Amino acid sequence: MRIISTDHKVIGLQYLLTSLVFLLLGFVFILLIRWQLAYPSQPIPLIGAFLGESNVTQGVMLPEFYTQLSAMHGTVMVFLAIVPFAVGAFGNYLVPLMIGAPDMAFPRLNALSYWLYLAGGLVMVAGFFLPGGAASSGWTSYPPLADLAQAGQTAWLVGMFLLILSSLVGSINMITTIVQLRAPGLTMMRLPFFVWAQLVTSFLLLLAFPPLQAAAVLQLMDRLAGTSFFLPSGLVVSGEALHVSGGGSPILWQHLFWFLAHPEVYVLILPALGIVAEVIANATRKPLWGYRAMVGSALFIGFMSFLVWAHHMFLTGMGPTMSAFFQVTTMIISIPSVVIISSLLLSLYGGSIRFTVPALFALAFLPMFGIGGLTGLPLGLAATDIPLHDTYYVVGHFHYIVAPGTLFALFAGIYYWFPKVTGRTMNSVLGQLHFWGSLAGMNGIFLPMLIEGLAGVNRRLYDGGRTYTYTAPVIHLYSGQWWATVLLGAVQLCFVANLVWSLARGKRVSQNPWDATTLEWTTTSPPPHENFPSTPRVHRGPYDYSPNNAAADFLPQSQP
Amino acid sequence: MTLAPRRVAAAATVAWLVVPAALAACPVCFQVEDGPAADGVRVAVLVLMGVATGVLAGFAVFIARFVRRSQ
Amino acid sequence: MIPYTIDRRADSGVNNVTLGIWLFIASEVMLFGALFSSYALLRVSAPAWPHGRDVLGVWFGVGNTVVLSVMTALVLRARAVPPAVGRQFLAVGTVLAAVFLVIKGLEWRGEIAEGLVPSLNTFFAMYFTLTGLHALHVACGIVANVWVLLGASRVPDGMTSGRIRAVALYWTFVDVVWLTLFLLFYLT
Repeated sequence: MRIISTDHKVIGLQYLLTSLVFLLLGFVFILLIRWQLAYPSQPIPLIGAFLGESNVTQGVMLPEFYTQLSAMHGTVMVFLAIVPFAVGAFGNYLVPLMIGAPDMAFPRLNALSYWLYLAGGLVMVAGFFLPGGAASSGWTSYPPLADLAQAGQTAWLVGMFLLILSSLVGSINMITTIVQLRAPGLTMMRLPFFVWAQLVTSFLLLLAFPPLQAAAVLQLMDRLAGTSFFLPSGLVVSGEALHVSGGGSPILWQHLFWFLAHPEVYVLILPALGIVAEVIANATRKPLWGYRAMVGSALFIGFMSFLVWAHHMFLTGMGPTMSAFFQVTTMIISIPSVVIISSLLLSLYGGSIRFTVPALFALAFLPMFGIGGLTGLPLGLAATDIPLHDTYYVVGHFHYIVAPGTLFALFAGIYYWFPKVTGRTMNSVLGQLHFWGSLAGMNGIFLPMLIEGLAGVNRRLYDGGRTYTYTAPVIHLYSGQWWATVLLGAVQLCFVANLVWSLARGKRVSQNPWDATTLEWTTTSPPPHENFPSTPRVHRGPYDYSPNNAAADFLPQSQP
Repeated sequence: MTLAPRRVAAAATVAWLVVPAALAACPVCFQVEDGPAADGVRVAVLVLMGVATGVLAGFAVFIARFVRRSQ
Repeated sequence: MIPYTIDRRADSGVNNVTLGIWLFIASEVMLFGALFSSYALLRVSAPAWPHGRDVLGVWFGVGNTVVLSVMTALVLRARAVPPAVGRQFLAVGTVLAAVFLVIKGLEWRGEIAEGLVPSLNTFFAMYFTLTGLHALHVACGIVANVWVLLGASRVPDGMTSGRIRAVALYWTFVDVVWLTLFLLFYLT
């Protein structure tokens, strides 16, 4: 195996390993933050002394470090961990296998996309070692603050530029592959829902990222060339008027940023819905309910997601006309998400459910995503968003979707496809421990956030809101959240141990241990370099479980 | 609900129906809807949405062609 | 090994490279669309905005427009002739693209010498950023052309034809963006 490989399976595993490392990094950031929130002004245990004097004083976190951790936690998790995990790892590895192709359409571009991702990620994180530290203006990098911030912000912007290039190259590859390289007989409506989800995701990445690329260039110009794209006239910083031409608009950044960042949240959830669909169909031994509705909904989400972005900007003074427009489109877009999640729920009815570890994660995903989605509704309505904007309610809302939502789906995917990649299974006792511990831990962290937000606690506050008297009734929740974080971290160690141990000593299994129908299970585990000894021919849909008039409990797609 | 709150609610509803702006007391809604900054944002949003819609229309045409060709 | 590298697929009606380059162009349209949207915001909200003719050298703009348009026409023509001839058109076009960059560089040098720099006001901020990004795209296009020319002797003719069609589409897009820039900055 060469390190600069063009084999999509190697690249997928490279993405997996790198994104898992970034996931761990983002988790370490949040451990530090949750300690500070629960026990402010107390020295950080174990590692406090080693964090550097610009970050901690006698082990106690400084506010400047807190804001860096906060901004970088979001950045690392969204851009360097979850999306590369969901799209770069799962998409790259599985899509060619699921469509019966020997590789992606452009194998060299595939390799390029991975190395651009790695480079971008390293540049961003290198910010911690620059004077003034890493980017600290939120994962949203709003000007004027971000325009005037320390060098770490430039690293963030350069890293983002590279990441977006990586994403563009990858999405061109994914869309071309799915459209062009399907095996004979594999029509679009016979594709596994996982592949549809990857297709729509790549479509979103292709079209939504360029405006952020543009915005990053403009902010770099502001920081390095003295322009005023985002700096209004008359800015005064530390008592002195800023010597720039002025005439810029901070709102311009917000529009360009959120134009990407709203489709980005669908990028975060669609691959997860794809994984959950595969695992549920397999675990229930029956076809997915409402496959066509799910496909239509995914496509509708893809198109509609470009028209809702300003619901992140209801408090910028846009006026009732614009607010009304974006509120309406936001309410409309909630419908296809409900269709997809309802179809998945209805798919359980009448099923003979095999409660394997991947199935546990996939089943728990459903109510957790339900909570996340429902808590989004008051945020999408302009009037109710007013008291909730920028509070912990928002943080709780999106974490329910990404953590016990997307991340659970990704875990389900790991346990489910591990046998295909390695030829061995993972230990299911450790898997159960990982599942129950994560479920408890995540709810222990994020449910209190909804309460804190309703009480009015603002986001991104170094002291957790203690200076405000109205936060007093909820401050006691922080220590519980700290212990929930510790629990969550501890069971992730079980997961890592399970992964490593199973790679070496896991029980060896046949090429289709889950009795699954999709094409990847018809080849060896791990698949050979060219994936299939001869091009498969597809004769049926993706979920022919419990077929009528057949002796078998399932029929693979390539079965005549 | 007891009588007094019901009367208040009825009065408020009538007021809202007759003069909607009377109840629009929130500062977020009270925004200067003209002026160069607001105009600039409006034009920018329209341009970006226009370009996006155009590109999406292109994709829709491709999809329609694809569906027709695969039948 | 990878199917449809040259032949078209029946249901999509295209081959891989054609689809890939159209997807790339779609993303580039979004990129420049966002930049033009930013231009619109800054111009409409500005209390004063200079007339391009008064502050920029219009003849530089005209020269660049002619050079790039001829170049694009050549590359478009290269699609319709056999690859052996098409390569020559492409080579000439590449030289013209380099001329474009030289003209642009001279223009910038003159402007900077006069103190017309990005930090002066939002007009020049937008002008330098947009023409700079456009020039970057021209430079990358030159690299792509050279890659096609160098590879032409080592890959089948069908593949070279496909690549020439791909770069032709790219240059058409680059030309359309330039024409828009010329209109917005030099003429209004």
